[in-house]
Formats: sequence, structure tokens, C-alpha cells
Amino acid sequence: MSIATPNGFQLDNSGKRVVVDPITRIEGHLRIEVNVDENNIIRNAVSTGTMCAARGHPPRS
Amino acid sequence: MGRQETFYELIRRQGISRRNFLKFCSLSAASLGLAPHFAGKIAHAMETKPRVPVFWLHGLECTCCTESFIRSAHPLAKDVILSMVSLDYDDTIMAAAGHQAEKCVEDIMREYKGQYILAVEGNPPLGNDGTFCIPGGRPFVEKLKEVSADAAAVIAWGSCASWGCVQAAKPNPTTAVPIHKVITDKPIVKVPGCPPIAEVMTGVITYYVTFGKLPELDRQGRPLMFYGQRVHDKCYRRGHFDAGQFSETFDDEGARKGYCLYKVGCRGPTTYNACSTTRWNEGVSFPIGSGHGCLGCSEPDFWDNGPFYERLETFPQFGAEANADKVGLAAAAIVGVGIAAHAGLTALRQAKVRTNAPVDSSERVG
Repeated sequence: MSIATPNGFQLDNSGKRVVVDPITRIEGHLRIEVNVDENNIIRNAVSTGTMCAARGHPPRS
Repeated sequence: MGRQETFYELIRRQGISRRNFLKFCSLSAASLGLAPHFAGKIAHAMETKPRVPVFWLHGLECTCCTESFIRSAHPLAKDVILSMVSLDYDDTIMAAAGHQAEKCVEDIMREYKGQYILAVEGNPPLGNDGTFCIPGGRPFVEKLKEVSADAAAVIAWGSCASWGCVQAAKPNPTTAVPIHKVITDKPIVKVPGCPPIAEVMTGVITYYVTFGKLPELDRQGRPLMFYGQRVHDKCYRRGHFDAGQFSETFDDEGARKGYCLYKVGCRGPTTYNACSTTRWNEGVSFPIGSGHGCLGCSEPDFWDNGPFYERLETFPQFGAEANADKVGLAAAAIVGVGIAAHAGLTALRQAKVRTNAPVDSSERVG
């Protein structure tokens, strides 16, 4: 089974799936997942993070 | 994990002399605004009490609270996190990552059930089932509820955890809420500010470690020792305010002379914080000292309390003496309505009674 992220990346269970979440010693929240094939080559890697922004406020503020 | 070492045992093991230890205790007492004899009490606590396990969770945030905290000078942040408390989980500075980090959460919750302090930086977004903030593969709001259930006390670091801050500003697209909306059954100390002053943060922890209880709080849950006065009360430009000497713009003569910044938007008169006394960067300066008005970052509705560079009196919220004229006018209007109503009722009553000598209704008013 494969899932498409909003940015067009694919998440699936192919090969050996390695997920590191949370990535520590950084600002914010980050998740990295990779799919490693039988030759130990990374075939797919997806990073995920969330962020929000303020809208409708004066630019100087 | 076994028995936790005391602070004293640990620093002796690190080769720090008793003399330096006592010096540290005096400095901590001074930074908490305590009388000198409290240094002995702090020393006793450090010698006998085990280090307090602390969870430091990060929600929707910018990590400025951590950035501030690690620059604390009295006491040094390293003394706090390596010696006074046992900072067992903090995803910004911990060595473990991924499932090893998440395993720490389970271990600490089991080993120190009901004993640990939960320190929260940032806040939980509730919108879209909490999916706007997903550390460790599940919504932050769930983790927050789970970890807070067995905490002894909760510290809300910064304005995000205390009031909501920038992510909760209108229109608040993620429905971010302060942590007291989610944690309702634990004592919460709010240490607001964007970020809070480093020495205030370490001071709150030192107080808890020393006395085994939370410091005295004000009506809004902030420690009185740091948030008992307005920035305006101890501002070194206060003399200019009282003398009516203001900077009208950031580059006029008044600004060059260091006049009061109230007219260019300073929130000092409505902001409760220790900036004008404790100051920042080891007491070097604070925003007003650098020529910029206070933004009121430690107050509720920071970001929504009007454009930063406009005068206080135009704000939607109730100000201190800033909008005294307006308040006075409004009060006079209410009194006026009351007088008119009273006069009307009096006239009506008199008309009903039809006394022989009706008293002029205007004479009754007063």
C-alpha cells in the first residue's frame, strides 16, 4: 500500500522501512522515513514537518 | 534508574568545592529576590533533596524559550539541567532520537509517577484533530494529556503555553490553545514572555527545587516574584514619562535624548514582567534600553493587542492610566444615563402620588 503526501511524495512499506521521529537536537519537529532495499541502498526518503503562520496582521508587527 | 543523586553529591563528584557550592547558593537566593539567610536554606535543600525529574515537551513553538533558558547566568543553565534537576526528556537537546527518545517518555512516567515536573514550551493545536503538530507520530495534544496525567506540577514556558501567542493570533488557523485549556487538573505556573527572561526561568526551577512547592502566583497564575510589577514601574525612562517628554518617532530629537517611548507604542504601562529590573543577557539591557518600546510579549493576547507601533490608548483592551480620559468619559456617560433615568422615575412616581406640593425632580438628583 502506498500513501501520497500533500507535496507529492510516496510513503510505503517497500524494502526495509526506517522511521526516525522525532529528530532531536533541532528546532521544531521533524520526521524522516526511508525505504532501504536489499542492497542497503536508500530508494525513497521523505521528511515531514509542521508549521503555521499568522495572517491578517500589519507587516511591521 | 535507581536513587537520584542530590545536587550536592553530584557537584562534589564533579570536583566543585564546598565554598563554590555555597557561593552558588547565595547567588541563587539573590536572583530569587530572597533575603541572604535563605542561602542556607537553598544549600540545605541542595544537599538533601534528590534531583527533580523534568520532562520538557515542545508543541507548536519557535524554541525561543529554550534559546533564552540556555543563556541563564544566575544560576547557569548547565547547573540547572545537569545538576539541580534531572532533565530526562527534552527533544531539543537530548542525545536520543526516534523510538529511543520516545522510550524515555514511558520509562520516566513509570519510574517517577507523580513526582516529575512537566515543562511545556509551545502549545497544542486542536484543529483538524490535532494533526497540525505531530511529534513522534501522534498529535501533540495527546502526548501532552498523557504526560501531564502523572505530573506533580506543570510549568508553562513562554507566552505560547501560557496564552497562545503567535500561533493563536487571529485568525488562529490551527486552533492553537494555551495548555491550561487541555490540562485542567494540575497546578500550572505560567512563565510568560516571548521568550521569558532566562533568570526568571531558572529562578522558578530553583524555587521549586529549594522549597518543594511552587512560588506564590498572581491571579493569572504567574509567579509574583517576577511578574508583580509592570515594566513601566521600574523603567529608567519613567522620569521622562512623568515629565511629559516623549519620542514622537524613532528618529526625532526625543528619541536621541532617550525620552519615553510610550507614543511610539511602548506597552510598558500594561505589561507585568521583570525586564526593567532583571534585564536580559546577564543584565546588559532590555528592549526599552535599546530604544524600542516594550511589545507586551508576556501579556495575554500578545499579537492581537493592536499594531505594535501605535499608542496604547487606541488599543481595544483596557489599558492602565493610558486611556484614563476615555475611561473617564465613558464613566461620566454612564452616570449621566443614571441621572436621567433616576430623574424620569422620580417624576413618574411623583405624578402617580399626586402630592400637593410636588418636588422638582431635578432637585432629587444628586
